[in-house]
Amino acid sequence: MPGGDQLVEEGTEAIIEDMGKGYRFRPLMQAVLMIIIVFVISFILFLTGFLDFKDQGDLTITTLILCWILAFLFPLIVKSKTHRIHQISMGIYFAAILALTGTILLAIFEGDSGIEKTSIPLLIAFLVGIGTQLFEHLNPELIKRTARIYLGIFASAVVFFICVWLYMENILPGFGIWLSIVITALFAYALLPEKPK
Amino acid sequence: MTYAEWEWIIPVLSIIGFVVGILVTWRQYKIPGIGDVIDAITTYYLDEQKFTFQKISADLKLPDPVVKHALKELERRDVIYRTKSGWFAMNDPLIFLSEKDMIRAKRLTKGDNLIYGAYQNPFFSHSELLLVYGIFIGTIIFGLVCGFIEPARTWLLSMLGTANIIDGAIFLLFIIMVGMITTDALENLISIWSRERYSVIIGEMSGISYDTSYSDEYSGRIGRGMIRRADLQITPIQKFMNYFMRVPIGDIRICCVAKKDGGPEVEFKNLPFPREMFYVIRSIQLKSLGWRKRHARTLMLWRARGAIPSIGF
Repeated sequence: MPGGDQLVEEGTEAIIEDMGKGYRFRPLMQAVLMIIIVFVISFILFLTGFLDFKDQGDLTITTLILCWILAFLFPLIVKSKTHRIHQISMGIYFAAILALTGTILLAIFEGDSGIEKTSIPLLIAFLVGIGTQLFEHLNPELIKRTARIYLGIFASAVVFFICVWLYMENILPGFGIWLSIVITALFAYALLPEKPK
Repeated sequence: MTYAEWEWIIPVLSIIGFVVGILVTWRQYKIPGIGDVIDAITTYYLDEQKFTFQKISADLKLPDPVVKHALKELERRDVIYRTKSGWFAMNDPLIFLSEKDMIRAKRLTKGDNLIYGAYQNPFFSHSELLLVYGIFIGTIIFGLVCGFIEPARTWLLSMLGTANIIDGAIFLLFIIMVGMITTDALENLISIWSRERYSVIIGEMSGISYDTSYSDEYSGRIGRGMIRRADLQITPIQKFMNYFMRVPIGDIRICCVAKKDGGPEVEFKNLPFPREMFYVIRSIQLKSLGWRKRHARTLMLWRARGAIPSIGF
């Protein structure tokens, strides 16, 4: 039995892992699954021709697909909740966020990106919407019923609404605002902490 | 400069993002004296309701600032909490109830030492899973079909009638995003639905108390002496979902004394950490909290953050 300092040094999450390991895949199996997933994604990218990096956008699409799929699947499969694993999850999360942010900025400032200008608000909505949802899943302990969290949710909901509205107006002129309100309400509600504390 | 000339910046940004993510979660965890404080609490105050800083300090003979800092850190991590009167109390790690329900449970068990408390999730069924995750999986399948199969993509854009101004691939991202947000919102709704209903608590003396209907007040009772057999059952689908879900779940079946003597067989569905609940039931059945004492240290370090066995991941 390690000493208390050593246990706490690893963080309490290590203890959750200890209690929950009977329910989860063994760490080796988790690692094997992740390797298989990376292999399958790479194979699909190879088959679809993105991995040859010949065309403009191949590098962007490859990076975005790898980062976002791993950002979603890594915390879902790797349940060894040690501090190091959490660090890797957050690392992949930030990699996905920065890669998408860079893509959006390039699309805004470089006219020949191949991305329609009308699609840029949706990419921002995706960045805000999925970014915050994923952050909530990765750090549920940070999402508490505090004024700061409510303010954060409100601010992200406003940005999300404006972007979805701008995009929806292209598809459903006149009605886009109503659909945007519904989607934004769902988005804000999904972010609200509903578990008992 | 063209987009192609700047494209290299995307993978570079992702590498920078990875490093940033690692750095922002970098924390120093080593807190001096914290192990001794945990030892003192689990040794002397495990089944006590409350303890004070002075008591811990006197037991340990450590400098006051060290004990204070350790207690503060444990409080920050929700392992212990401070009562209104300024005492400290242990957040029992197997209590998954909201604060309001915890007070209700304490009141109805006349202040019994509660060892386990959680909500059943009666809505966790195949049809519910199909409904909630079907939306998300459906949008992904739709996205893949319309993204990779050209006739489907053409059909989609013709349906939208905006082929000249809408990027098909990005519209599919929009569909997937809406599916994900809807699924998350439904999860929240289900959590609310099951909260404060169908809760189960296990007390050291009072045995098992549970709600039998919505807004019930623990009218279901199984006294310690009535428990004849307790079985842990994890169905194949629960076992599969437990690999990925945030909180593992399972069923507990309790065989009471014969019905004519006062007790039927009771089944609790989809409770969090069912194996630990099973150990708790065995402990109170045997009138020995040995298992709890043996694992007190681990249990205490286990973050006592409430969680509904929601179908969330």
